[in-house]
Amino acid sequence: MDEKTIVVKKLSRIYKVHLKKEGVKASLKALLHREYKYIDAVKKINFTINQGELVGFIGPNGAGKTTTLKMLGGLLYPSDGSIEVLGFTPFDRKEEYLKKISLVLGQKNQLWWDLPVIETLNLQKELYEIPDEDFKQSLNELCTMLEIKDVLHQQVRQLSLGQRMKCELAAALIYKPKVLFLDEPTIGLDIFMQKKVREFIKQYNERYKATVILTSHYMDDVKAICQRIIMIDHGMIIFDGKLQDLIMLNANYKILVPIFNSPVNIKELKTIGKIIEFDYPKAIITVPREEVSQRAAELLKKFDIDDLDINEPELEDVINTFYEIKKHEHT
Amino acid sequence: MQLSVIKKIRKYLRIYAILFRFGFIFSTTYRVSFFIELLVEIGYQIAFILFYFVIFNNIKNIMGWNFYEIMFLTGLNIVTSELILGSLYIFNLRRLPEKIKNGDIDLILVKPINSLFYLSLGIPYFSAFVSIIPGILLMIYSYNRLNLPLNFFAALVSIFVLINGFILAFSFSIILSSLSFKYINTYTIPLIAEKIILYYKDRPHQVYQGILKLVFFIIIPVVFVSSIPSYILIKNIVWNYVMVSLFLSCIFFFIALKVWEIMIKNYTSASS
Repeated sequence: MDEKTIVVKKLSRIYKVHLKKEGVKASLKALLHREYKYIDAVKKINFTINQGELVGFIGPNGAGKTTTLKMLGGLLYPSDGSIEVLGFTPFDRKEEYLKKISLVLGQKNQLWWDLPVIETLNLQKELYEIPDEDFKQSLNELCTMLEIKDVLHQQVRQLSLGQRMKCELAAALIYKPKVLFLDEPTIGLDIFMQKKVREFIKQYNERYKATVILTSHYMDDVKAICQRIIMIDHGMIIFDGKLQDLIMLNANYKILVPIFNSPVNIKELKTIGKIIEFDYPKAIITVPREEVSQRAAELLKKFDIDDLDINEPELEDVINTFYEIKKHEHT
Repeated sequence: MQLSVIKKIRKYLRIYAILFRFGFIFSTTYRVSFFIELLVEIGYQIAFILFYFVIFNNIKNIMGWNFYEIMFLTGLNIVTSELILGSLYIFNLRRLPEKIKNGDIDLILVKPINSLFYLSLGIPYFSAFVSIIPGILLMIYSYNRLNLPLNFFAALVSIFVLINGFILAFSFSIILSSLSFKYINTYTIPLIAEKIILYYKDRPHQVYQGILKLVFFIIIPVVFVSSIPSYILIKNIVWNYVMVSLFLSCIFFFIALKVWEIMIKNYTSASS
C-alpha cells in the first residue's frame, strides 16, 4: 500500500480584507471606521497525496493554489480543517518537519544577494545540520544535475535569472527534503531553462522518491512533470485525477493539421470537421475522437495532401473548456 | 536532554557566527558607504560627549554623578546603543514591517530555526560593532581618571545586570515590533521602540522620580541597560536593583516569546 505523505481534510482559509474606498474623504472616514470583508480563499478542500507522487496544483489567479501551498508549508495558519504532512501538523513548524520539506517560491529568493552562492549553501548546511560528508556529496550531485559548478563562487547579483533559479533549487534541495512545494518554479525563465528545471525536478523525484507539489501557469511544466493534477477554482477542488483522464473526459476531439499541395475548396473541407484555422497551405481542423481515422482517411482521399499531423488538443484548451463547463454548471 | 540543549546552543552560535561574517562582508563590499557610516556614528558620539562638556562647565554634578562618572556612563551608553542598533535594529527590526508586508519572510519561516532569533538578530550591522571601540576607550579613560580600585566582583555583578538590561531592551523591542504581524504597514512601531530605549537609557537613573520612576524602572525598564550597570561598577552594588533586573528580564522575555508566538499566527504573507 502507498504511504500517505499528505492528508488534507476540510481545509479552509479565510482572509479578512480591509475595504479601501477611493478618495480623500473615504480615507479620512476609514481612520475612524473601517469596513472589512471576508474572503474564502480555500473552502473545505480534501485530498491525499502519496509518497513519491508528482502533483500539479492548477487554477486561475486567486483560485487558492498558493494559499494551500503556504498552509502545507506551515506559513499560514488554517482557518479550519486539518493538514498532516509526513505525520506533522505544518503550522507547529517543528524543526524535524521543516528539515524534511522545501518551499520554492519562483518570485522570491533565499540566496544572499551580495554574496557568492556557496555562502548561502554553507549557511544551509548549518541551518539543516548536514554532516560534512553528506553536504559534499549532495553539493556534488546538485552541481552535476544542475550544471552550476562554475557559478558557485560568483556573487548572486551577477548571475542570470536562469542560473539564479538553478542555484535557488540547489539551496532548496541541498538537505534532500522529502516533500517539495514548488510555486511557479519556472516563472520568467526562457524555454531552454524551463526544460532543464523540469528535467531536474523529475530526476530529483526519481532519485529520492520525493513527493512534489507544483503550481504553475505554464502547462508545459504540468505536462512534463505531473502525473496527477488537482484543479482548484474559487477555493474549491473541481478536478482531482490523472492528466490523461482530464483530457479524455473533456476533449472528445483530436486535431488534424494537413498541409495541402494545391488550393482547396473550403466548403468541401468543412465536411471533414470544424475548421479552427485556415492559412493556405496549412489548416487546423477538429474532429470527433472516435472518428479520427475515418476523417483522416477521407481527408487524404479528397485532397492533395503533402503532410498530415494528428494531435491531441492543447492542455490549455482542455483546461479552459473544463473551467467553462464548471462555470456553466455553477450558474 | 542537557546534551540536546548544548547541541542547540552550539548550532545557534555557529549560525550567528556565519551571519556575523555575512554582515562584515556586506559592510566591506561597499567601502565608501562603510567609512561614511563609521564617520556618522563617531560624529554622533562626539556630539554627545561635547554636550556633557558644555553642561559641566556650568554645574558640578548631575544627580550625584560627577564629570568622569558621567563620561563612564556615556562610554557605556555608546557601547550599548551601538550593540542594540547593530545587532537588533538597523537590518532587522527596522525592516520587519516591510518584510511582513511584502511576504519576504516566507522563506525564513520555513527554515528549521527559531523565527524570532533569525528575524530579530539575523543580519548584524557591522559598522555599529566597530563604533563600540570609542565607547570602550572612553570607559577605560574615565575609570582611570576616577582613580577607582579594580573591583572584579562589582564588575561581574555589573555585567550580570547589563545582560539583564539587554534582555529587557530586546524583549521590549520584540513586544512592540511584533505588532507588525497583525497591523501591517506599521513602519513606525519598531522606530518608536528604538527611540524610547536609546533616548531614555542614556540618563542617570536618579533623574527619574515619582511616576517616571515607575515607568522607567518597571514598565519600560531601560535604566538597567546602562545607568544601573555603570552605578554598580563605579559607585556601589544595590542588590535590590540586581534582583529586580533579573526578575523583570525573565518576565519580559517570557511575554516577548508569547506575544511573538501569538502575533505570528496573524501572518498572512503576500499574494504571489
